[in-house]
Amino acid sequence: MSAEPILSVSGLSVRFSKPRPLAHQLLGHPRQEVRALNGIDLAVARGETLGIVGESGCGKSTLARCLAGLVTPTEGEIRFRGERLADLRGKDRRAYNRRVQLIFQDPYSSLNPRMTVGDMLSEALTVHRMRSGSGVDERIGELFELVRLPQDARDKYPHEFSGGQRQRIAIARALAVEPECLIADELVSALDVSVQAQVVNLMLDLQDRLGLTVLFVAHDLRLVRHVSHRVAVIYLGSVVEIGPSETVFSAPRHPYSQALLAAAPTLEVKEGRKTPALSGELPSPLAIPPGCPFHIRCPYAAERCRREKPALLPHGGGLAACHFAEEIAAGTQPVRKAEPQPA
Amino acid sequence: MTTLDRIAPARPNRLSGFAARALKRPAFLAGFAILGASLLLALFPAAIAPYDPLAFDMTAIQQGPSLAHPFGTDGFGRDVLSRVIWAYRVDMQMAFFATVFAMLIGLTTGALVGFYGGIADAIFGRVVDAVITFPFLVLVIAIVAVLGPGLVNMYVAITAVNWVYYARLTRAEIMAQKAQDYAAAARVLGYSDARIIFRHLLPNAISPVIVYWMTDMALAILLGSSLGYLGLGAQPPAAEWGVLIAEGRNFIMTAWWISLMPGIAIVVTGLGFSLLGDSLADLLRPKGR
Amino acid sequence: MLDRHIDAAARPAVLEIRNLTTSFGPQERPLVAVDGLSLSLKAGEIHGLVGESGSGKSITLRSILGLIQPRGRVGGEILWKGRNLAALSERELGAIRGKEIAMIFQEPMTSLNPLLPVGLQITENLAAHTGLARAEREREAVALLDRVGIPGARARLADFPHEFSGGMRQRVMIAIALASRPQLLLADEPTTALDVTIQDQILRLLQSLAAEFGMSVILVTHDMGVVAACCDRVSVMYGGRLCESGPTADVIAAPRHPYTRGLLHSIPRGVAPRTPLYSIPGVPPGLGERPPGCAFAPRCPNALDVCRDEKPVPSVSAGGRGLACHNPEPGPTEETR
Repeated sequence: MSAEPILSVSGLSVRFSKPRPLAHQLLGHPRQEVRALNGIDLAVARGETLGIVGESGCGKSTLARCLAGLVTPTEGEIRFRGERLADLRGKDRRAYNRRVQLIFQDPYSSLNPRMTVGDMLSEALTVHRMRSGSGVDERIGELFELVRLPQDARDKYPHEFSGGQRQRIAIARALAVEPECLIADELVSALDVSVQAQVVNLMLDLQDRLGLTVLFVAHDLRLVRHVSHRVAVIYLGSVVEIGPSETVFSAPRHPYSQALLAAAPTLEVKEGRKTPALSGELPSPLAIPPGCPFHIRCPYAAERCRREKPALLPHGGGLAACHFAEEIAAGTQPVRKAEPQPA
Repeated sequence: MTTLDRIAPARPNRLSGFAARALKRPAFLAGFAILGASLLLALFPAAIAPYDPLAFDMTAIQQGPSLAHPFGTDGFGRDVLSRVIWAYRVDMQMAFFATVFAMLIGLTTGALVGFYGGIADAIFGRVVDAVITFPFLVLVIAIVAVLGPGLVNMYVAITAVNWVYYARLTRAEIMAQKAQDYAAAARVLGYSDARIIFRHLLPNAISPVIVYWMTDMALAILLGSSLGYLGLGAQPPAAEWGVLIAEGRNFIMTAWWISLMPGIAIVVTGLGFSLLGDSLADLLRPKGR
Repeated sequence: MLDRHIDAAARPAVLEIRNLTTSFGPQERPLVAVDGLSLSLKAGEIHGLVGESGSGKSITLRSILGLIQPRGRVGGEILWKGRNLAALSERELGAIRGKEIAMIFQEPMTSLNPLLPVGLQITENLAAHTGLARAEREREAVALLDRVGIPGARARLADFPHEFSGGMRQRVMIAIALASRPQLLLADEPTTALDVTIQDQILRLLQSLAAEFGMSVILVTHDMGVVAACCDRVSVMYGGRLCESGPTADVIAAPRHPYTRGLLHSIPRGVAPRTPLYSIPGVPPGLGERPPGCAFAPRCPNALDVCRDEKPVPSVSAGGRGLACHNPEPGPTEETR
């Protein structure tokens, strides 16, 4: 893995303002903002798989869409091989779109129902002039082979395929434009359990063969652990921990990562564990608490956590954003008493 | 290593599939038959109509339906059947020309404002509000009154109001399709806006518009006949169903066939469009979701 | 509150399903969604029913309460406290539904009435199934919301379903279901729409309620992890039929049906990172395309000729393990790759 990042983001924030009724605008009510991302810093090296985990609403899908150029960040910048995405125009911008491809979660809505699979692929190939003339047909054949779809898929429509096959079609379409970076947003979570492994294996194989850089956004921690070199844990639009996959999963330093891992279903039959790993719910992204975003649910929270947002600092083998990461690891941070949750 | 998914057997070709499904629907068949016949009548009235629609026959004035004149004759002894048949030419033309431009303009405008939104969409919203506050017929009559009566002016007047309805429908459909992931996927692939709108979104958004167009052609015939009846559309002595009904209105008690026969033609043709529209709505729905 | 902690093994079965068959469509060419399923459930037991989409797990659950008629037909026996639910009339079932047997669904937003405050929806159920007076009902509603872990329960009685988050809505659903003190709770993927930390909370809640009220639960899920986290026993379904059943720990430690084994092995666990995962080839069969023999035969690595022609007959072995397979994996002592 080279140290030079292929894709990096710094200080990335995305805020969506909620539509206000005209009356509220006239009365001068402040606009309500959903803060989907709050200052994300990340870098992905060429050929690396970076796993991104977090609960729904944490902003991981927004991050994926930002990187794919579907959402314009409110603040911060995205750099691809050192060039700022915001500066790219026209031809360069289209080249970025070609190089960074997004694969969507739902293979039922990500394929145009009125186009045959062959049309979809030849469109992608011709628009970006990847091939011309008979080269297009040849390349479609290669792509089918690459994602292990039967050659007769060419003249069929998406509805004639199962979920797993559709996800292969989506992968083939993304690969048609020969991207360098693949963003997989919940690649397999819409698929049947027995089909998920097929698609994950395909992605691992393709990554090795084509030298792809992959951002693997998912909520299934077991899968993320399996496929990722490094993992970033996101909570309420901020990275709370990032580090090598094995380090984060075997010795998480941030209390949220710890709780997430404890709550994730494993195949260990847990006798007698009666208390949940984490109490309370994700606060609304409309009202992100000051200080550490996790302090409301954190069993170790102290006064400082309510005031001061912790920075991502080296702890253990990675980075964690927790004031008391060392104390928690050493077991010296007091656990606060369970208190009733705010309604 | 992943293993090859078992291959589903190849399905029969798509177009024949559409035809096969269409032929199983009585509603589609009925609508298709009615409109096919109407089209024949409109194209070759001279070959089909038994008499000259304008020829007076003072020996056979206001005769009831008989073998010689199945639909009877009117106040000048003209054969009502022949006049109804000749009127197909005018009325089918009306159905088409009064709607097709409205549809094309509406489709394009609706697709653009639906896709881009923003200020254009806000302005469009106000235009829609302004147009739909007036009853359709009143607005059309007002425009015809300004332009003067006649078929072409009637087309202009109807199109000027009607495109708004197509645009509104298209806009809503485009916005729904735009929210789908395949539209986002097309953007991620770096496709141009024009390609996304016309190649990806519109084919998925167009079926309700086509269905509405079918029903709207029926409405256009009704509207055109109403205007003809009021003397604002086709001008006598041209044969047009509305004009024919108007001609018979004074004799409705004594010679009911003069008004009733063209009325039946309107009903049957309208039914044909509706049946076709309804069955198309089912047939055009994409499968598998 | 009741506290009936008796030794699990000694408890009698409260629900006994024998050879349940649920089919749809024309009599002469029926689509069989559930094909000869048997399971038994003891008081206070949480039974996981695992399968993929189209495996018949949700139809099984709905068949118990007669929720698939009149379009579907139910055969076999569903013995609930000595009565065969499959043979009861709609009116008789109505008296059991929501009272003795309650059900919760995957998406609570669609099963809660969006126009009524949740307090009313709970007291409604209390009024229908208990003899409590109005004031007592109110108090009980607060107690129930409190019990399922909704903070500030009294203040939230007047709130509408959309004012609750997904996890809280599922708690409200459970509170409504609990109002009638059901002895059996049917839970259809209750946590699939929820995040892991919330899922964990709901599963713990179900566990503690089962223990506290002696309530039995059938938990339908597609996730073996959920089963491992909270179920006492598990039944694995594929293509409308039962593959394997038994105590959760035993089945997970030593699956004997090749499908169960494939399902467990495709979950990354103790394998080197980024190596290919075990994967079952092919896709699950649709309702109309079930093979004549074992439903899993076309995808099964162990398939013999007999598997393609003959449906395996379920058998029960020592330790309460059920199995329907012509050529199962070796017994618990052997290594399973």
